[in-house]
Amino acid sequence: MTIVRTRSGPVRGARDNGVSAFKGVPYAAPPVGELRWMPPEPPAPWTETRDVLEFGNVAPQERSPLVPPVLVVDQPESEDCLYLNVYTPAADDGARPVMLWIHGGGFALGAGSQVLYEGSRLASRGVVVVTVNYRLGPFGFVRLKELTNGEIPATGNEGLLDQVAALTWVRDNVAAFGGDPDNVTVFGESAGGVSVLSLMSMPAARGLFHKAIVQSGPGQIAFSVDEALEHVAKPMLEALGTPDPETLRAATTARLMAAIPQFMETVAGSDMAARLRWAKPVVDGETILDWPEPALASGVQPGMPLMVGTTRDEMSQGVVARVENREQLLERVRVLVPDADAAALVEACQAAREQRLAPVDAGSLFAAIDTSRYMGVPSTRVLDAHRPHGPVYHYVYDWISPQMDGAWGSPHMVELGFVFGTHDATPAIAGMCGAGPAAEALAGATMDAWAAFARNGDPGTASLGPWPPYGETRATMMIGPLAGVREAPFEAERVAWDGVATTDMRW
Amino acid sequence: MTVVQTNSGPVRGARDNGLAVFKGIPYAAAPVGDLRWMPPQPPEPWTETRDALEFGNIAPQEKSPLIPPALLIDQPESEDCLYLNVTTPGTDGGARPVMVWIHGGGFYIGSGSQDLYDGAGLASRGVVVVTINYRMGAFGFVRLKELTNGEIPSTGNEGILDQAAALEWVRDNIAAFGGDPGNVTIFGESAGGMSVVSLLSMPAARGLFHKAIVQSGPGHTHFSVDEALDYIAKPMLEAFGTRDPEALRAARTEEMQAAVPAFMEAAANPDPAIRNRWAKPVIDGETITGWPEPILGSGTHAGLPLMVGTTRDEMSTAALAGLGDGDLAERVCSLVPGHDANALIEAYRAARGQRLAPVDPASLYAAIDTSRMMGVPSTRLLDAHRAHGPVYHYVFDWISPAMDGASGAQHGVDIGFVFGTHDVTPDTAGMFGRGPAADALANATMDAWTAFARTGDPSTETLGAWPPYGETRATMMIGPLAGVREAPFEGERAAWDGIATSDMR
Repeated sequence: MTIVRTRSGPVRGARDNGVSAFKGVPYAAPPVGELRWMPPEPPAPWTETRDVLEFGNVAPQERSPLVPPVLVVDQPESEDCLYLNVYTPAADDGARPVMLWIHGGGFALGAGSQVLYEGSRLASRGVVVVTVNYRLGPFGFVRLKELTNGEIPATGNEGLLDQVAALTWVRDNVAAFGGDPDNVTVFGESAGGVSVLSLMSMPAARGLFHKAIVQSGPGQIAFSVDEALEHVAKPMLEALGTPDPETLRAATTARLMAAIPQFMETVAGSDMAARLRWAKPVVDGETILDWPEPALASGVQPGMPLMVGTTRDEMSQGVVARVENREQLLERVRVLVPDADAAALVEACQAAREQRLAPVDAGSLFAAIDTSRYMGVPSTRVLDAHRPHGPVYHYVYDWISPQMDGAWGSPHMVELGFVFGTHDATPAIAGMCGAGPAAEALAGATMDAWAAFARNGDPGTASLGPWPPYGETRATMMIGPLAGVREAPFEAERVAWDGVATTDMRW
Repeated sequence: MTVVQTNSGPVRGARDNGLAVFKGIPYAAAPVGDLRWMPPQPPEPWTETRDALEFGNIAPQEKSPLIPPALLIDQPESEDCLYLNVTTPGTDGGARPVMVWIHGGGFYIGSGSQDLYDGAGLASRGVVVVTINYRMGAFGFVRLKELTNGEIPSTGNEGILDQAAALEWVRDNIAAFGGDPGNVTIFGESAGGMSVVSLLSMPAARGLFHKAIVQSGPGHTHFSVDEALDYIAKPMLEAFGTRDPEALRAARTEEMQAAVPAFMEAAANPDPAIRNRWAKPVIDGETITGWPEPILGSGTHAGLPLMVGTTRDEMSTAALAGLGDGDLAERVCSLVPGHDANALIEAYRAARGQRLAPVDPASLYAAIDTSRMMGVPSTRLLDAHRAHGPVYHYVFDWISPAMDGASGAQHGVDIGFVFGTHDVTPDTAGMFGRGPAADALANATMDAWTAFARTGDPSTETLGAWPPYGETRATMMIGPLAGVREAPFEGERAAWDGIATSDMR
């Protein structure tokens, strides 16, 4: 047992395998009652030592059979969910690099307490790992300001403001946990990666972190104010049947959660793209200044080391079976990017894949094109935007998931188990990531690189090798069965999008 | 430099990274002139110290564009090719386990000197590694006995007899290289695995080895005498234009080699019945006494530890693009004439569907053909031997990074990890991988192989405890999701239960 004094009060954590874990530390007041949809408030202080041995509640979220087993969250749900967890080699004055993890899940699912994000193994590399919960979906990403005449002043970015509050807690408290408040790396995957990019353009987050890692985070998907109102707030209030602030504040958690499937059905129906137009950060010019690419290009984070990467086959899941021939392929690509030359994109992708003997059936081509559109190309553009202003590093995670005999390639999320060394924590995760000596070594090397980046802004290590910045030659670290630096991998696929604006790659 | 006295004369090897390496040691007389097609004879002795610093000639072989770059060899060819190479931690009285590698290549390509088979990684784990060349194709696997009225008495197994001669050399000389002649493991892949199986069925090789590893070569495809004559010897002599022994012995190497493209074409033929009519050992009842399964089942090798395994996707889908459902049924029918092809297809669809693996016709066909040619005969070998000795099974399911993974865990994908040579060239790295994950897999694989050579039990710290293949069919999966699984691919295996191994050729 280890006791640490936080600004709010003393907490008692547990020590296991050389790492102390503090779970369920409140970093903000429960956002319930009058505080629902409000920016996070400081937590109420306490004086008696508080046991922080169990994870806190997770944000209310959909429990659908569609959610893959690796993402299932065990803890109870409650709107009272603003808790974080700290994993540290020692609660001393070690001033170690701090890594704050923002979980993914489409701003609608997930928690810092997922088994996948257990921080001990990363912490044992000499860093302090913090994982956070933040408000999701109808509680964290609904803009009600205009629709309630300001009575509920929600900007639609409350979930991100929670993340800022967690960073503020880190600034104020992490030294007591053996961390260095002046060397904080934010990292996140998917919606967590989008969150990292959003935090880079948030005045409220300025100075609270010093390095950033964006894993598979398509920041271009952030809403404009109008989109936030049209796609989320209005349909939700319609489903609830009233914009009355009193009624909204009094509604049960369950009632608000029920509004999601309801408006999904009425608004989106079977339109999968529309279904993706759900909870997202809102570029309102105040809490978030701009979309990532223009924001970074304007030098909003001078000097900040930035690592961005994607998995090789982000969009492989499920699409392959549904695109069976060239006609369907062209049609689907046209729907994705109506203003682009679909045939040219298909040709470029096919030629590049043929050259390396990768499959060129219609399903594989569609998955590859969609991966470039949604993830790959916007990610390298973010790096291009920031590279005049700070050190940038690029990776492509191409570890082939063992699931389905490898048929999904390197899908979205496959790197998560390696970033945390939790690749074999459960049979479901092992099925997605792998187990045994090869997987173990890949996890070790990935954690080494991530921790090195957190330590000194350069992810070069002995295990994965030197990692040059993403400059003119587009040096990219390939992380997988054939690991190492490659210059401009997948260049033809990238260049094929040169005439397509990032704003056309959003949903 | 290190000098070792062999029975034939002294050899001088090089020291490299704590190992001593001896290359190109002759283990038999050059099989040229009157010795062409004859059983191997002892080498000529020598008295002055012979430098063993360069690899010996490799057997004459095809240089075809069909051969993957990772398998290409850039050394001089000659019928004078019976050389072996020794890599040892010390030429002392160490009595270390010995591992003799028999290379693959369809009995018509390859050599022990391929970069892929550099023995340093294994030897640094405390074993003595021996890699050998043997006669191939037109020189090592052509039965001329009947066709020349016994004037050229070749059985069609001369290449295998070369391997036995190399094992005799090991018995007689390996102690001086720090090896234990009483603990010799033979291992080989593809045609090398089939060679190991042949040696298990060969009276001439009895007692020359004590453990065996068969990688992707269950040996059920050996020829009968008639097949060896019809598919290889007769067509070759026809192509050559005469059966006259004098003319045959006088023919230039290139003239005989000219018959080999026919093997190559057969090997690449999409029709499996033709594809399998390449150079192969011959079950003649004398040099090789029978089919491997009944031989092992009769207990010929009581107590011998045997490891057998395959890669998950031995038969690639690459040549099968566009295969339709109708083609699938037809092609499976031709694989197993007289059996219920649809039952097989449906069993595979169900088993693969359950783990969400692809069930398109090409994937189904490749999986069925993998079971037929490799997977099922391999487990049957284990079943045959397990009453008589310890048996271990693996499935290598590391997915090659080639083709973005589309070639799966292809034939040969184990080799770079067994030797730790996965990344010696860009071509091998492209086939096997590189970096921390690939390195760790190589280390774990080498640990297991050398543990087996040492004690007959492949269990290690790195890959974990490895139980024998018993009732539960415990199998070591070696790949991204490594570990022991009980009866993996059981639906696929059981689907063949009514089908005799002899119908899987």
